Amino acid sequence: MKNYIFRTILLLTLVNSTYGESCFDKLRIHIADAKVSPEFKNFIKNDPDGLYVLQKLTYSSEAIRTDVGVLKFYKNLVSNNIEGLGTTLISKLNDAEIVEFASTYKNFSKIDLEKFVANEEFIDVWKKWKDRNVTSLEDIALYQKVCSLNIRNISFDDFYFKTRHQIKKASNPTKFAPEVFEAWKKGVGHEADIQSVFVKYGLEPKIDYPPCDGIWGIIKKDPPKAGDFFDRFQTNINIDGSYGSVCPSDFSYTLPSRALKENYINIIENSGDYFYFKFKFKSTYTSSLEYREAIPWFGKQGESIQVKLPNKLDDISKQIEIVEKWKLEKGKWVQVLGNAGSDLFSSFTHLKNLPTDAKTFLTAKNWDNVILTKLDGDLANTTLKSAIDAKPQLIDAWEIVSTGSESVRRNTANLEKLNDFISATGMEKPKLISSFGNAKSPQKWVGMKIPESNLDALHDGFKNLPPSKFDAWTPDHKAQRWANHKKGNPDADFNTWSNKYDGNIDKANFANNGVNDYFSTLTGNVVKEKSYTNISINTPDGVQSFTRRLDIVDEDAFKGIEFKEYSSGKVYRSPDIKREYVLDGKLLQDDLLDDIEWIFKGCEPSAPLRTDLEALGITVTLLP
Amino acid sequence: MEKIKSYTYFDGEKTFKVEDTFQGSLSGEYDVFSKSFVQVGLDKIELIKNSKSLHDSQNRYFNLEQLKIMSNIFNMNLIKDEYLHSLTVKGHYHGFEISEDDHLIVIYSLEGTKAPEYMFIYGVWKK
Repeated sequence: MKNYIFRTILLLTLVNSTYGESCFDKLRIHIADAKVSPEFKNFIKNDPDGLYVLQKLTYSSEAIRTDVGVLKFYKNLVSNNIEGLGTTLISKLNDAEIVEFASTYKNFSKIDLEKFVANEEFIDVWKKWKDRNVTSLEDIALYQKVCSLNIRNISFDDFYFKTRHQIKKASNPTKFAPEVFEAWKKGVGHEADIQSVFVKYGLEPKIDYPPCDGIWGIIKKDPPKAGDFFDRFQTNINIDGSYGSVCPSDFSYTLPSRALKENYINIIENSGDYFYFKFKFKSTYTSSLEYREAIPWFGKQGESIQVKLPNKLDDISKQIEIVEKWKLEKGKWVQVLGNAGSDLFSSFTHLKNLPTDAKTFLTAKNWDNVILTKLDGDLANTTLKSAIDAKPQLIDAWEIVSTGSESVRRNTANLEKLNDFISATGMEKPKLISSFGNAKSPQKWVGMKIPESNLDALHDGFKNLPPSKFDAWTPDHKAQRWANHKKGNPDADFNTWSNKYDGNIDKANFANNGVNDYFSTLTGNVVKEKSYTNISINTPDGVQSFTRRLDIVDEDAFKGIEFKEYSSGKVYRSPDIKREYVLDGKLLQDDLLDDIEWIFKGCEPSAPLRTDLEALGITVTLLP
Repeated sequence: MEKIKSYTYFDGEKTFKVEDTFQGSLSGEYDVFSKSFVQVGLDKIELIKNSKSLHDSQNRYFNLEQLKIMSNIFNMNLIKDEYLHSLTVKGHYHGFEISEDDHLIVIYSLEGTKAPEYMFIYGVWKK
């Protein structure tokens, strides 16, 4: 339809030149009927120059002809007698660019537009930077001045890329980028100029990172050579990050010459950790490093030769070898790893043979000789040694159970289970150490370290089965208890609950002990754990048969006893519990028992549960 | 205003389930970490875009009085260094930023040696 309209325009334009205005009027009627946007129709119908402009764009694409912004833009050119600029512009921009340019044409005076169209570089700048708000002629001119420069092996594009975080934070990012580049390109000795631009645009040189990754330029890009050493200061205990310094054999750059963000004076004052690593690359590492000179920043002198890796050091840990590690302790540097100085573990039979990353991990612990000796002894177990060689973080798991017996500590399955649990839950190690220390059944305690999702899956597996009683501190028991607890406490925190549950293992089998104690007080023909099979009850899925196992049954008195002893303090009407008492109601109804008593020791039923029990004729007894 | 105990943090590449505070390496440079967000239930807040620095340089975002109030609300230390006041937390010496929307507030710090390399999330609050 639209193509038809424009072919018609072309035809009628010719006709109009011969027969007069009435043909345009007819065309207006045709367009009014056509399926084009209402805005377009209004422009053509109501603007006296509408058809004229449309006719001028007859040979342009449909996207341009039908865009009202373009039509209005072109009309503006016509009224300023510069429609030739429009024709030139259309020849230099693609359709989308023409539509976009027309939408911002108000930024341009007639003179600006003439300057813009006449300068190919301006047009190129606009095309490249318009998405970063470079649209006024003033801004375009600013970017045109810098965008083709290459200063100390860094183009403006590179500079922009390495400074994009600060540019985003500036109060006027569009103007900040070329201005800070202009200050930076002056080079060494002009850091104050850069900082002035920072302040002008609302950035704080004391806090905000320097531009261009904090470097004056790139000296070279080369893979590291064999025998080259590098070093790095950082707050984390294990080497990471992407920046370092070259480290010639006879010296290392001072901290101030690196102009790093970390304020190590504050770190000392606050007893924080600060580490130094000297490392080299293994021959397997072939990527190029950027070698560059540090800009003075953060009030520090700068000018050291630094490197930037294309990778993070923690991602390529197998391709580097740490040859020295130092730790700042109470204002003094202490070497904790290295060939030149004291290897902390050289006097230990097995620790000294740990791989570097395991030693680094262990060093960060800052353990005394007593615990190191204990670990060294455990590493005599080759399975454990191999496991820690391969996965140094198992030392964390070992630390948690380090007060346990040898069999618990040296069991790699235990350590893996704990490690998985820590990874899945993020539970804090001191809490685990404390909880383990209180457990009187350490192996059971470890066995209970099951992440929430695994417990839920476990519960899903049996929640629809007939109710059964699980032995305390078994995975099934924990899964059921967690499900019950969540029922009454939808916002319950798993880590807190889990720690509490596991911590109560010292009251080993207290539920069983409780029922045993109670049972021992009874006389007569009483039996423990009697099961009643094929008890039919209504369920949402129809009538189903279940087995009901009661804790105690007095077979002479036809009395059943259900014994509840929950650490959580309250027993809720969960689906499992409900199925139990519905079955008990059925036992009473079918006269299989005359009386059923639910004893709550150290806990109590929730109000809804108590109501349901009593409605079924079940006696509720609370014991302290 | 309630401090959120557990939340999800996306660093532009990886998602972390966080309890209280987060500290870890960034998965990438600006193009990656600028996509960071924190999610609490259905509420999601971007961290980098529209964040404000927690210092009073040029009073661009906050003045001294506002920082004093915030130091009490968020239990942070107000540090005076010559002309500059800033909010910090013991053990963290980089500048802190605050991101806020209609539902959530996040206070974080991008830490590193020459450029951001680590994220420290001090806390998340629900309004």
